[in-house]
Amino acid sequence: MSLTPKTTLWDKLVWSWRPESNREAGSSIVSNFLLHWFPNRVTLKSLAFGYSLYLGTITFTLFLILTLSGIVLMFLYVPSVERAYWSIKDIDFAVSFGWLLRRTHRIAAHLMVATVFLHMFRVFLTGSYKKGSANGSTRPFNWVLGVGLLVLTLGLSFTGYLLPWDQLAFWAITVGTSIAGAVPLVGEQMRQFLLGGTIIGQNTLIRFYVLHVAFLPLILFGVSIWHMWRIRKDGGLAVVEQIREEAVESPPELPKKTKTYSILGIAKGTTVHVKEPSLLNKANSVPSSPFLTFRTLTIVLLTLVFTIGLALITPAPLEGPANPEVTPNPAKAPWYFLGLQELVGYSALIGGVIIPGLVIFGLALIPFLDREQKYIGRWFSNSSGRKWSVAGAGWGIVSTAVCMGIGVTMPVREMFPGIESQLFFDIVNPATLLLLTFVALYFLVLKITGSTRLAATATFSGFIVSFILLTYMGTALRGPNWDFYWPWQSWPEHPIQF
Amino acid sequence: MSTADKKVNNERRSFLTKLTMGIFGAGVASFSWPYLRSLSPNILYEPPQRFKIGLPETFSQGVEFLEKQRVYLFREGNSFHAISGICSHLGCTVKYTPFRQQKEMKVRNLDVVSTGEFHCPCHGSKFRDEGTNYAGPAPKPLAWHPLEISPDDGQLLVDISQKVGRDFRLVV
Amino acid sequence: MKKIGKKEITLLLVSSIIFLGLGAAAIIYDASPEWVYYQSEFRQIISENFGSVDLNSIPRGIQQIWVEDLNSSDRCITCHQGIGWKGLENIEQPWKTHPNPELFKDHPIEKFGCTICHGGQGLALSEYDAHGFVKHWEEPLLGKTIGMEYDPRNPPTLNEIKCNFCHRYERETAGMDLINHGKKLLRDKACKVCHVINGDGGSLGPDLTHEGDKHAEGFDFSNFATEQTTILNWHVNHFQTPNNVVPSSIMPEMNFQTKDAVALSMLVMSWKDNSELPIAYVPGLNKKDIQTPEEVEKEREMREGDGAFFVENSCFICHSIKGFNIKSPTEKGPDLSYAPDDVRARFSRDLEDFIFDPTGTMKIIFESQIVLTDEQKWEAIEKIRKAYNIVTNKSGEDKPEKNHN
Repeated sequence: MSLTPKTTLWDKLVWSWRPESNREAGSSIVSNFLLHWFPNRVTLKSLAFGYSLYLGTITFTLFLILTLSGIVLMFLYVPSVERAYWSIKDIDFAVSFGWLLRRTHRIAAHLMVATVFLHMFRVFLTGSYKKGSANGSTRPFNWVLGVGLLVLTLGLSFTGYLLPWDQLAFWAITVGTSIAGAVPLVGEQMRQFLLGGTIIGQNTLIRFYVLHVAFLPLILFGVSIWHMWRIRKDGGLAVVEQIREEAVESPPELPKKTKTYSILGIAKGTTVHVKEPSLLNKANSVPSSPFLTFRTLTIVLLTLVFTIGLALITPAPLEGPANPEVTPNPAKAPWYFLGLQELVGYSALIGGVIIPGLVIFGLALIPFLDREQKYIGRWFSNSSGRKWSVAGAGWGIVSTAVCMGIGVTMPVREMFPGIESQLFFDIVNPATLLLLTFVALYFLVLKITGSTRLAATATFSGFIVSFILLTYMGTALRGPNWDFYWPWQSWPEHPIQF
Repeated sequence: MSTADKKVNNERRSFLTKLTMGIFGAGVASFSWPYLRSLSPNILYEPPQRFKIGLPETFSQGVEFLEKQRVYLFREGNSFHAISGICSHLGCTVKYTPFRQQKEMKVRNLDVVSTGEFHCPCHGSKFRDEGTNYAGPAPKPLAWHPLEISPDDGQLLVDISQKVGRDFRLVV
Repeated sequence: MKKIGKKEITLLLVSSIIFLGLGAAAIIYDASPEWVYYQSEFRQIISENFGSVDLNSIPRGIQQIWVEDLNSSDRCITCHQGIGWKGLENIEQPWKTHPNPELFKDHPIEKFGCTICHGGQGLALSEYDAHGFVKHWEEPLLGKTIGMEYDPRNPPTLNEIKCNFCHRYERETAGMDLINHGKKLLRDKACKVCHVINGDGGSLGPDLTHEGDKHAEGFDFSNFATEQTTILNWHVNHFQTPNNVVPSSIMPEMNFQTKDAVALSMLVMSWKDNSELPIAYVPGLNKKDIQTPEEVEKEREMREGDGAFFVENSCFICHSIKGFNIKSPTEKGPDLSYAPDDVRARFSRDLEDFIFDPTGTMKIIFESQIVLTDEQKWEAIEKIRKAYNIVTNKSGEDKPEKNHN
């Protein structure tokens, strides 16, 4: 176990990536800049595929793919209302590999929105937002950073949606930004500030462009670095808590006296005794270099292969050029907002403001509501967590299906023709009902089990299912005039010129 | 496992790692190419190099500047020639400055009557009215471009992608 | 020390191989577009048909006609390389000569491109995309293929719709038979009694000036029996039986034959807002200064009357010629009608003598600005004498001497 001298330039460059001894492995972490943000050793539990599913790594890889393809696209795209659409056509048809860049960028963007959500689901379902017992852990705060990253990702995707300047972009952003207009009192001012006018125009395009290519990516990059740094500070992945729990139960080994020190010859002695039992040993952990680096490379590569493979077989659509005079039928927001658009269909205030506000605010508050410090880093906590999770999901399916059934079959406004008050319809509608069923679910489970964790698990599982169902409904089951169509019913054919 | 076995195993593993890294590197290279290639345009939105400028009789006697194409068109009676307005130094547009009176001078050992000269605004290069550089940093004369009569409608055709000698004249 | 498991290395190896494969696939796909094949075939055809042609003069790569005025860039000529060649009339598409090369005379390709007349997606570089029978491209290639959809036996030449975008104000245009027929029906059936078209007409029906710009969203297909929900079809049906398509319509049934209905449908579909079209592209516009009839007559007389010689040779810029009713704008020189007397009085010379050997200003002018041949000089002398006779009230028959020494 000694550092073999590195003589050739090649060895000097690569030794830290392929250490030949444990000591070299440790040394590589501190001497290589690119490796310094890894821990010295990583637990096998953290490395396991089945625990984290590497969703954070995948998300960040997708962000890097988006950055790289985005930089090249910035050279090829012209953010002006006259040229934007036609520059996209040129990217598709006349630029070498333009089609590949645009497809990769689009697919990676959709995947990133999806993986951010999945990452959040994973962190919630494993209870990884809990503080735990590590010194200086602020995992609840890192969860809040994560919610911020979710909002930033949605913002990036939303601003990028406008840039092709086709009918899809124009009307999706019209619908999307009008949701902001539903905010009481300041909504219209907010919407106009976002657009830089009363309708989408050159001001909007350049605003969204700058937000999309400079402002939001920089913030997202900064916050995600912060997010990852916090993981180190919080003592690694939450699954390490299990090792800590086990170690607490077993009696601590006697601390090793490894070093002697002297301060200016005044004081002499051995190292201070480490009170905390040593968590990492050869049995439960491996050196980060090369194990974590290798694993990271594998995940990055698999993400690349999946994304590019998907891009090669999925053409990026481009509709007709943006035309403020003609609204396509149906006009839909980006897919991750279609659940919201479904709810907005009942009440803009409830569906567009109160529910998304509560969801974002509620998500950020989760670690502060659920303060039980048990089952950290375990999927669904325990068997009763699994049970309540399934129950919550079932509740989500039923309540979403019932509320949407009511929405489709019983239009509230037609049932109460005598009432003119908008407030009445903002309160009495399927979206409000859906919200109430989730509030009921939370308190019901809390009452039965007395556990905030279980109540949150059930509600969160219900939320996931409901989110997926609503998104599916808005995407696939809503046709022209926002009419309801079963999956086996075909939509009326859209007329063409010739 | 014996030490020999271990060694063989290690060598095999090392080869496998090297092979993997090699293929991975090739993969990265194969995806860098599209990124670079996409930045070299296949189509240009530029005016054509060969263009019609109008019927010969519509041009006035003397010098006329075609702003869009940066070409000076000279007409002497029925004889035409075209001189590039792009300075041979660093590409600024030269300005034709007529003399108050015609001057007789010797250019390229020929006695000529000159009516003006070209001045470059960027670094003060000066050219005779037939393109010869005589002052400033310009390293060579202004380019002459060929003129022809378009066979279909009789318009003058300039081809700025081609160059001709300074004795070129198109007589119509 | 522990080593990384073989499984994990194998996983990385396999995904690296796939990664490299994807990169290779992308490069191969991008390097082999359709047009590469068409261009190499074209070279083959040229070398077979015209052995002497230098194949290197045939352009390679993506070709486009960029027309700034029309905001169009058509890349059709990337594959259709033969349209300007003579002698490829019988070759199959896409290498064929343009079937109506005489059209290029008034519609030079570098000023018009292709799609302004033919429709289609000129930016695209594969047959499928470029011919434009794709979702979200409203104007496909208006050729035989699409015409067959409407009348298989006698497919209408739908691209006349494109012609009429510019030619809409013409009463009749050569080669646009269906549109001409439509325009005739428009007059015969007095459509303007009920409809405003190009700014005037009745108000019983809607204004049709920009009917061709109406989007599919603006048409009601709910009473449509056929599957073919196209705007053209809507118009054809509506012209034949207005009430079947729009039950509340008060438009009378005119018993149009299919051909009439198609012609009229094409006509109304061609009525697009062309206000952004540069005026150079709109035929039938008078782009000249407006003159009074007297001015026109005077100019005609100057150009074609007895004094035309002096106008053509720019003498009138300085000299009036009263005898021929020519008035100089500057009057710098003396009236040429009196030249015979004038020359004698000032230079004591004959007119002939002076013209063949002038002095003073006229010497310079005759040497550099107005260079006349001897023949022209004799003609001038003859004409001057004629004018002299007119102003001095002598009969024009008095023959001038013609002494050729």
